[in-house]
Amino acid sequence: MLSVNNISKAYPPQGLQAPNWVLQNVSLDFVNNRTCVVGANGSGKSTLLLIIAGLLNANKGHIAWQGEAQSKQSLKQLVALASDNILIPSFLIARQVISLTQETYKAAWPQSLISEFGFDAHIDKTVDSLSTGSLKKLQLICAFMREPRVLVLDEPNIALDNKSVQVLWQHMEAFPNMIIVASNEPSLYVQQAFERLDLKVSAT
Amino acid sequence: MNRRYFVLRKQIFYQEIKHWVQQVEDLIIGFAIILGTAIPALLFSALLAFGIILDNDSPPDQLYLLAWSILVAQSLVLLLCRQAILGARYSPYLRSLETSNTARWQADVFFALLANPFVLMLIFIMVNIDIADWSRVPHGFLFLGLMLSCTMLSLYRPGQLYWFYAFMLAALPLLTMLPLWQGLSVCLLLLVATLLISAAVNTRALFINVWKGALSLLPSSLLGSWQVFCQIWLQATVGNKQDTSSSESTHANGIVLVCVTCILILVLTHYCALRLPEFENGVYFIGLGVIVLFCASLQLTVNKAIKQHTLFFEQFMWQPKMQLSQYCISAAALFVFIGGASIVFAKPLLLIQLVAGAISVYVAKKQASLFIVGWLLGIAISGALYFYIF
Repeated sequence: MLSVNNISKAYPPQGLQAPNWVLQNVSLDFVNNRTCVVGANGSGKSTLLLIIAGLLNANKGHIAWQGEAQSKQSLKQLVALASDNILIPSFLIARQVISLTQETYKAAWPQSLISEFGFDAHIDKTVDSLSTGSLKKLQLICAFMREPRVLVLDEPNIALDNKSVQVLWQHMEAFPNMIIVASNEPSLYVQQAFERLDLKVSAT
Repeated sequence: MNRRYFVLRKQIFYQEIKHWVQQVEDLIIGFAIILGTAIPALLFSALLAFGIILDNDSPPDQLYLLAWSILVAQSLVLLLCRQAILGARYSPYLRSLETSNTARWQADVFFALLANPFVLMLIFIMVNIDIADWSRVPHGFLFLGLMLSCTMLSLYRPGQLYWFYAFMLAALPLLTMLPLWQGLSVCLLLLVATLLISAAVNTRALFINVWKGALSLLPSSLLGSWQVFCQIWLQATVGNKQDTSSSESTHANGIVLVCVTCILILVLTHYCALRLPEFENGVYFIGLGVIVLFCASLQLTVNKAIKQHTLFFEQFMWQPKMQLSQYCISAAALFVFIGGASIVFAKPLLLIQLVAGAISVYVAKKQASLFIVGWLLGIAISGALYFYIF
């Protein structure tokens, strides 16, 4: 079980403005192996996912896995996140991004994922020449190939074509570990036996 | 020219220059503190350099070295201001305006001249020469033509310009056999030839392939995943496109600019050492000290790429190899230029500047705002070592 304990996150103030509190004392328990986090725009879904993946520091609170509080470092090993918020350097080639993930997380080359997502034709393109859909595929390939304990996907079906959405469903279905999805289309996920978890907008 | 269009370009030009100055404010303040009252002297030395070329009395090798240095220096200034001159960041919007190509070109040329004090200086000198004496300085007009051609290339074909400077430097021993006006004519022809040859070569791909080739010389078992990581940092410093007007322009071609600047400094250092043989060791030491500054500044470019893509690199930076590999570009530049200079000038003691390099790179990574202080500290330490051993 993954639990979010009293997480608060504020982005630094701009000029004379007060700090922008995106999350305030948020506590959630991800008991089900399939969870869909739902929340209005600006409720802090993406920020929460970045904290869960160990890519962003929370001002307060911690993330626990199987009851044990996790450091940012161990979360990086435990959780793989696919999110548009992770800006991939435009000067990289898609193959390099996958190689980097492979080297860092000692993963196998994800040939089947690449083929199934129809990404073979784009593998040697630079990131800035990829379409929004292809970029999403690249993020998904990098996340799935790590075979993490917790897979976190931020709006995974957005910008994907129908065929790729089917591939995504198949892979999510076959994935043996925990999946957390953030989406504004929860019905799609609830139909696939995802538990719905609502995130309320924090008062700023 | 469409007045409104010109006013818009003027606003963009000043805005971009202001933005650029803000980005390198620390570096400018550092230079101002170090150089202080020597800054006007530097401007004067540029006028002096034109005087030496126009007088045409110095040994030919020194004249050509000086001409080459002025051309490279003006190109560096123009490349740094290129985005402001062309309004490149706003080019889709500028193109959407109903303006003729002539008006755009006129604006480009106007702001290129505004940003290029070297050409303005030469024009000023030439205009002040009596018309009756113009026939005595054909090399002055040829050099002006060469400078204007290089100005245009800096704006529209910067990648090809590097080739021209490399070819011209390689051809210097042959050029010195010709009188200056003939040599400069040959340079103009060389420029045309370069345009034809280099149109077929991708500078960025060449850089990356040379780097790949250098990495492949090492045994793969030794290199392993280092190859992936080092490749990434190289691309971060080379940028995405040859075109410095791309969105990555502030760090695009960073390594190319640093390499060209370092070669320019090496040539100028050699020139000064030839002129002041009694201070030869000091001149080389100072020249290499400036090279250390530029090579170590590549670490700032890498820092910037990491900062721009923090979330992406956060996923990988915990790995020790990835952490260490981020220094590979600045370290490689230091080894190539300091090591190369110590071999070419046959002065192995100059390798001591690597100490200053290591300190500067470390400070650039850990406390970028104190980069200049770190560099000064490094130079002081390596200077003390140099004079102790010397």
